[in-house]
Amino acid sequence: MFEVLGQGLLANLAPSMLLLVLIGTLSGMALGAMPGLSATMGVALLVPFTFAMDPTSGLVLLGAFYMGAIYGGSFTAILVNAPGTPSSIATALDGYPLTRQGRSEFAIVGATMGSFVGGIIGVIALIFLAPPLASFSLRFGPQEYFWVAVFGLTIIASLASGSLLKGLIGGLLGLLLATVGIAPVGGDVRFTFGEPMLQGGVPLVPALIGLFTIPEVIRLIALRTRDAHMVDETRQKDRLGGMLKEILSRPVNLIRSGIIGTFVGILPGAGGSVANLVAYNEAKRASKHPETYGKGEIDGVVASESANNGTVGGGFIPTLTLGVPGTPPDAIILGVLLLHGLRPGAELFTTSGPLVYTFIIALAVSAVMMVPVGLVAGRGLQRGVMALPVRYLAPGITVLTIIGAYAIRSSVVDVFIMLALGVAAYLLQRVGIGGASIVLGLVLGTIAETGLVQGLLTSSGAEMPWTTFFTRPISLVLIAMCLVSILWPFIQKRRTKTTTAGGQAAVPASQRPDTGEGD
Amino acid sequence: MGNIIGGAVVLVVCLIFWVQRSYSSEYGGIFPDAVLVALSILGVMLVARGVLWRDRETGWHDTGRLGYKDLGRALILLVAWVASLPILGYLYGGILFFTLVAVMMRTSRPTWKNVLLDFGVAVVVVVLFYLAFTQVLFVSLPELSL
Repeated sequence: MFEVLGQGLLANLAPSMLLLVLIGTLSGMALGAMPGLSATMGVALLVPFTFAMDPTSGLVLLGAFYMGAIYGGSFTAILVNAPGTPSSIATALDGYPLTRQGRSEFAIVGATMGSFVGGIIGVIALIFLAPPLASFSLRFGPQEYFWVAVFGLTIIASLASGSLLKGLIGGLLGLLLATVGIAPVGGDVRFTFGEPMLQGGVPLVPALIGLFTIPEVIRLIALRTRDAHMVDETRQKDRLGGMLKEILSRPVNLIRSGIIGTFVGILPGAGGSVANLVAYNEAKRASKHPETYGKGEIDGVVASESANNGTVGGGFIPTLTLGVPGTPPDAIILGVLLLHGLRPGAELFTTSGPLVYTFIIALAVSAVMMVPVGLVAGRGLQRGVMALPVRYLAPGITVLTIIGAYAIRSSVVDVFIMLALGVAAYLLQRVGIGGASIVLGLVLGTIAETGLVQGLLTSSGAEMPWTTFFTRPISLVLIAMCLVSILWPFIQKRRTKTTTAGGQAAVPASQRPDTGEGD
Repeated sequence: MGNIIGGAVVLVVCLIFWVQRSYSSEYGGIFPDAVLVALSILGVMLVARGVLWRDRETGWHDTGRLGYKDLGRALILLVAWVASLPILGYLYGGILFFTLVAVMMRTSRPTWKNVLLDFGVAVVVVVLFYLAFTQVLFVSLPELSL
């Protein structure tokens, strides 16, 4: 293995290959930064261009593009609260508050380093752990997928910092929106209100843009100025070295989130949209000051970005070893592999070793290239957005949101849905029901329902089909994780109360010692 | 009052969805019905909280509240922009409403020079995105249909 790995490394050091990776990474970042244009769409658009190339170059370009696109989604999430893809939902939760504090540059640097570490962890797992992890992922049945979705939903307990009741209502509203359209199992047409376009369900990207971005656009247009804290001019400018040092001083969060992303990426159908939320929740749970999350906590950005780039390498594990794509872009790249007559499986690594390892190493090279490219381009973009007068920023964002919502299905109805959800989200925010919980329900609703119904159908021969959700070993582990996730905020609150009651004075955030554990 | 209004809105949403229920398969309603029941219960709890705790909490979120006039202006502009898409298309509607929003967001009375500047910026931004999407990425955008 090490011989072909070396060959792959050497092939990637050729100037032409480095240029190809650079082009792929840059164009992926540019596309990922546009709301509505997902990594899947970009990879699909790029496929025809790779037909004229030899298989290795084509796959390298696609892989680098995919890695860059996942990272690029963080830019708009941080700068204008518009997650370009569902993989960046959690990035917006803390990235945009950091922007409003005048610390968007710090958030961009955090996203860059998180993406780099997550990307590298995913690639390492792909090189060394592909066969055993792929066979383990096959042990996940519908019941386990149902519990994975429930585990994702338990994040509401963390997100709902103000009121758990309102957080749960938001999550259930999201789940309800997820039931609109044709049922994932059984094919029932539900809650379409006579509108044929709704048969495909509430489209995720327009919903994301509406729930996160439109309330901010409404605020900007109504106030005619940035929020008072949008740019904190009194704040001393952060230096790049200092920012990098601060982010890299939290290795546990970076590595844990990358591992979570890699593992979730292996599970077919889960992908970055689940991984970033799970990693965010775990970072918050492990933090010594979880109350700062959602208010501009860099660890939230780092966790989300490390996890979503971890899914790139993770997703290729079942794709290359079993022919089961972990994420939608993996499915397209799998198609390209098949077009070139390459069959996924254990023998792919032996019969086409040089090609496969060149491709895998190219993913790592792309992750490395994201650092200088991201730090230059990302910070440049951040400065541009910050310098833009707000009277051009608000309509500029609106132009992007319209394109983003329309581009997915070329449908004006999607733009109406985006606006309706955005206005509803603004009004719900007024009564304390945040958009993040609704998005969580919307993203996880289909996974939960598919798991639930398929689980019941596959065990319909059993006396009590419901019990299969509670008797399978992996399900039991996931149930335990759900319980811990739900109860943790309460345990943490109780511990804080006990500590305070014990007379220990709270230490200001700025004076907290560096523990290396996500703080 | 915020809790009562929020809870009431949730219950109205549940009612709208409940009357739309129509399932054709055995398991088609299991998940949405469970969600609707749970959401209704939480809606009732929120209303009850608003009534019982009306002295303890307002139920409104503590972010800055916008004036009705400002909020109305923002909503009218956005709704008109989106509603004009099928007629004016992305390009012409975009230039028109980008300019309108930019002019209306000026805090001082705009001069003709200001309006021309805003129009120029609108043309550059909207046309740039239009060309990037239609010519480079081959994504079709709504066209003028007058």
